[in-house]
Amino acid sequence: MKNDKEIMLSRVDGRGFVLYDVESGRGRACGDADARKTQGNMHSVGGHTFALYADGGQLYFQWNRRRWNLRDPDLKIKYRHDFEAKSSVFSANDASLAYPAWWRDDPAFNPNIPEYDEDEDYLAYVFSVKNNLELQKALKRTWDDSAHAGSAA
Amino acid sequence: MQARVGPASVPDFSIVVRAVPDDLMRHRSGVYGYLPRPGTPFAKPRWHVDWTSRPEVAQARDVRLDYHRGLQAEREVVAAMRGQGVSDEHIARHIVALRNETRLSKYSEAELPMIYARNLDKYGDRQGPAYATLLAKYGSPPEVIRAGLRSNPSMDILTGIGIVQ
Repeated sequence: MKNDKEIMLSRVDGRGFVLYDVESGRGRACGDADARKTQGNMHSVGGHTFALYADGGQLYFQWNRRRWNLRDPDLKIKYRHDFEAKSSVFSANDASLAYPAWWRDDPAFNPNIPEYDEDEDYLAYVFSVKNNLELQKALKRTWDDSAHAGSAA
Repeated sequence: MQARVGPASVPDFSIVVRAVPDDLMRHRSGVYGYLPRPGTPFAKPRWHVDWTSRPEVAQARDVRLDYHRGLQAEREVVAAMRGQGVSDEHIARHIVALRNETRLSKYSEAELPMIYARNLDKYGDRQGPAYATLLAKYGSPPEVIRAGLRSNPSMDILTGIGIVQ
């Protein structure tokens, strides 16, 4: 059963849906769900839980318990690779995380196609969404509609 | 300022970029007239390409041209399917499969089993990011299609494929 602080999110690893508690920043599996009611997505990296979702007409990025409005001009998101350490580094304002790069064991990796970062690395996708206002609008529209469909059900 | 990339306009895949991305600056020592701003991801010492070196930039350009040939083929498929009245969901599924096929074609036969295993573990699909995964990230079939056709304007400008107008 869903409580007031929970929203339904999709997992980006193809393993279904979760009920995500926006206060704790944690999700719990909810089995079969209606994809049309999802308000965003979530993923875990290096023991941290990240989520991107629409709530109350705004688009939010959440890292464990901390959350930011994606349109907040003070939110600075950075993403880069450390080629020597074969790691990627993601930061949101003062919070930073280094983790094994998705291409670490990929024999065909070529850094001159950075578009594949967004396919392979959830945090590169977050970085890309932050820098793409048109995509933000589209996601907000889709996920807001889902939220309303969910509350009407 | 956000760059807006226009459609492919000439046979060698040059594309129009309507604004200089924030991470680039005009600079005469850049092979194509631009360099990454210091501290941004494509800038030395972090990035592996010296954007003032013609041989290094030429190598990067070849990779980008190959990528753009794939994008061009995908754009043509999208246009043809739309012309036939195919739904966005079917087009999106097709583009996802095409993109995965293109990526898998870069591996040798010996490398493929390891990549299949990795994809299966990561996406639940040995071919690569599945349609369901991309729908979870982009919200709707039209956005899944757009994501599949995207190109990084900074990389395109640095390799002379993106022309700022």
